[in-house]
Amino acid sequence: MARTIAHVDLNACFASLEQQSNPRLRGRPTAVVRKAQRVSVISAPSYEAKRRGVRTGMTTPEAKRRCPELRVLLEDPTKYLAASERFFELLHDLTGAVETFSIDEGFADLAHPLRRLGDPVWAAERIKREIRHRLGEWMTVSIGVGPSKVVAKLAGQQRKPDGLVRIQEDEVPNWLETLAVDEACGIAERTKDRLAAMGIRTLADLGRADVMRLRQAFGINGYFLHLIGQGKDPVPFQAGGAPPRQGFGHGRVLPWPWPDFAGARDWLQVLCHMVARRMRAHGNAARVVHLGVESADGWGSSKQRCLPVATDDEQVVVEACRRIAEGLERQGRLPQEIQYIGVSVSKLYDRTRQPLPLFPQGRARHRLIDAMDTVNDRFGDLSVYFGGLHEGQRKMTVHAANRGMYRDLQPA
Amino acid sequence: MDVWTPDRDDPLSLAAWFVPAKPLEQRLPWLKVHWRDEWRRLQVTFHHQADRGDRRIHCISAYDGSTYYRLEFDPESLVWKLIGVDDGAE
Repeated sequence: MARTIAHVDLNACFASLEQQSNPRLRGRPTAVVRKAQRVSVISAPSYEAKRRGVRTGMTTPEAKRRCPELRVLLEDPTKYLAASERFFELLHDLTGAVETFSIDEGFADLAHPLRRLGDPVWAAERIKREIRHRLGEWMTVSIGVGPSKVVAKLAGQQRKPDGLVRIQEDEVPNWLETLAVDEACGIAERTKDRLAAMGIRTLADLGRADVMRLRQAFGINGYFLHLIGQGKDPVPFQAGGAPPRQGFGHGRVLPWPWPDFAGARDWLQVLCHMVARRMRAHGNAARVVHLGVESADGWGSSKQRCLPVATDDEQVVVEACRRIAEGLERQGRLPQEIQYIGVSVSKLYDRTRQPLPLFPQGRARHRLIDAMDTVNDRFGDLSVYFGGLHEGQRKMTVHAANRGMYRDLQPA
Repeated sequence: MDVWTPDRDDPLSLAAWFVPAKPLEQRLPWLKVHWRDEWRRLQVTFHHQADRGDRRIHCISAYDGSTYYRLEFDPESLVWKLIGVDDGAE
């Protein structure tokens, strides 16, 4: 059955919600940060800030250098979650079939038989009006309409903010000729370079490429890339709730750039502890560990490592990160001075179904971790922790308390 | 960050109009507030709920044309609090 899929994306969601709440911010460069500290990371700039060169992931000093009049606000997660719930409720009421993509993006089936929305462009205009009515007059969305999720998302990206672009099924092949490969979601710099080395520069090139050659270069992802190049969905549209959790992660902007990775190990230990604890709280163990590091001038590097068995032990995650960092250093990809560290885990499994450790020491450690979680659940995080975490935990506490005064944390 | 918090002993009187039949975001369209010897009519710009421990409170953003107000309302104790103001003061 022919589908008409809309990709609906709240424009600069977090920053726009702050501007909706506080009209004094409207039309002014605004950005939301996660932590109120001297050096933080921009999590969401407004369109006014984006036009001045402010980007997600930029440190606040860099953002202020590019845009001195930038208004920086602490994030308000309860507000954003409430807005997200209203957004998806509205989409569901109007269309009847919605697939959640993220907190501020979703796909809707405009051809759902129960809703009889009629012309897709008219339906999309109605979605825009309802969003202004329910979320606020400052809130805009960009909508792309097409025969698949891939085409709808690509179409929506063409005009931001407050755009509406429709691509008909017979227009898709010629339209894909005009789009570079990295315009597709999931194709970033490194994949783009590898495809360019194979002579593939546009999405149409990707769709015409030999699928066996792509599979040899990219594994199973090569097949998915081939589908994307033809404007087809690797994963079909599926109406329902939010997709299952993919992973857990934590990152931290360090108070000073650290000259080497070994020196930043205390911070790494705390981040791995936070990731492992959250993972265990959700009943998960993970097989893939991902480490990302960044310097103060935004030069970053990341790599992941697949473990032989799934783990929920923070020490295993720390060790995996250490090996990833060694690998990056050997390749000359580790930044000279580290300002940001991010740790995440993915490829999740049910931790209760993992085989117990083979040896008594492993089983004792497993029981000890469970006991420590019980104590921390009752008396608060970090009521009890492994000794290796002590220095990192102290630094985090001093850093949070002192904010502007970091003399005692400065590397020797 | 330019939103400042008023003192605890900076009193506030408030009148609110609720439209019960509407969805949450339209239930409280505007407020009348007496603060610092002045009556002010505030339009509600965003209204949502948040958990504070085991209580569910209402978080209300409002604007009087020049000043932004951030208020919280506890429906159990019926206490309103003015927790943030942005009037352009540095």
